[in-house]
Amino acid sequence: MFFRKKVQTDEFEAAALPHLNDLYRTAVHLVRNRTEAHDIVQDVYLQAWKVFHRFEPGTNCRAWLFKILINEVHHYRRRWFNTKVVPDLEQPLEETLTFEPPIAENIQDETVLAALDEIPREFREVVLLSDVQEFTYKEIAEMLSIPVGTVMSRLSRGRKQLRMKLSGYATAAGIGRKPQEGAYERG
Amino acid sequence: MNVVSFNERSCERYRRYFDAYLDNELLVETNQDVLQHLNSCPNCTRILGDRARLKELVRNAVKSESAPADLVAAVRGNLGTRRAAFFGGNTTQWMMAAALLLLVIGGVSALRWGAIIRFAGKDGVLQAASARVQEILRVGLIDHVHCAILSQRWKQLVTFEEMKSASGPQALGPEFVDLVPAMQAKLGSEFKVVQGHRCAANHRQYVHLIFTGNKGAILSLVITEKNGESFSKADAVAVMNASGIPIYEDRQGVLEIAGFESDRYLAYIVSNLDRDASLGIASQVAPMVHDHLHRLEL
Repeated sequence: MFFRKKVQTDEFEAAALPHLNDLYRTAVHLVRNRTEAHDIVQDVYLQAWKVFHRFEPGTNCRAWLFKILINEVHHYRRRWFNTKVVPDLEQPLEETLTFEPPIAENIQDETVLAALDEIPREFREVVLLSDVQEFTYKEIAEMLSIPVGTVMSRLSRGRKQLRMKLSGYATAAGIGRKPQEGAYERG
Repeated sequence: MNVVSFNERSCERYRRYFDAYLDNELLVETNQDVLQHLNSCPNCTRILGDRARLKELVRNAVKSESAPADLVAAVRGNLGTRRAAFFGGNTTQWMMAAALLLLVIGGVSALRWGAIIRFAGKDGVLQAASARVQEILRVGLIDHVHCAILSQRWKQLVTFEEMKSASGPQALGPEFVDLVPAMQAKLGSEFKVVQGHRCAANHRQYVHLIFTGNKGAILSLVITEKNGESFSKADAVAVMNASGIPIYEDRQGVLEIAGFESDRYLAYIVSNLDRDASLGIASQVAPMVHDHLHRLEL
């Protein structure tokens, strides 16, 4: 039994640590606070290590770690915030427009990140998991415990809001502006 | 009340698929419909290109930040603390457990081989193999469509000197930059090199060389590391052999895909040429590209 756990720990490090950067980046934009993201990622690894015996070798370790991350983030938010879930049927005015304005040229990373952080968390979550981490809709649906159709609708709405914020018109009007230095740290 | 013309309504229908199209989540048939619509609709092509660009912008922006070094140390530290608790067991117990573990691993491996052998004997294997080859060929098609066509890289001329001196994640690097003049020599004066770079699409990294030719021809050499795929393991029949290298072929709408493989890489010629012209080029370049990839594998 002892030996099994030693083997598990070595296996765990080899399988799980390569994903630390991706977990941290995602956590930063989910909680919008680097200090909290730092703590959450540590909790993710501890939690993952505790249940590593349930992890099936050969299955997707990255998706498994992200599911734990999502749970940790939801737990963190329940502790600190009264979160308002955006109803899936709610259609803000900008989303009813059929015209798609072109994305502004020469957009800086800071501008993109500021726009990303401005969209509702439910949408930001799927945009991060799909566009950045490149999980499939099915994997995201399993991570978030929601139907694939809801993943698609949140992704579509999230991307649409990002497009509006980053369109040439919006940036010219000062929407999707750069964040203030250290804004994350205020949570 | 919004007045929507017939064409706009038709475009709206296709645009509803664009997000799933970009994420490679559409059925092959719907994908095909979208591609056909894009061929005849510059406005939708612009919109899809913008959406693809936004996706790339978000990915690059988020990935520009790395975890602080002290986080890695903290995680390792936490695991180390936990691990220490398990190092106090007695050695005999560990050795017995190791022997048991080896037996279990051996047993599981035997079961897996058994499963493979049984699968190979089933009916309908040829049909399944053909679908698998199409799936593998689509890996190359995706990069050509996303990068050369939708991102319009085929219009963005980069000199060979710039490709050689480029650095960063998009640079071809010393491993692949020599493929540019080698491909140019094989393709001859009918084709001009537009650019070569590394790019990412749909969960994969690619090495991508783009050429343009007469009568609007756009041709890509796309190379990607295998991720468990293999033409030979798909048991499919190659359409031709080029100096002993089997070449597999498929057509998706106006695009022709020819693919081959080395031990570690998949390589594709994707173009809007007809089948004979595409296979002709694939047979010319496959031995050279295969040799190049083989040298990298040594």
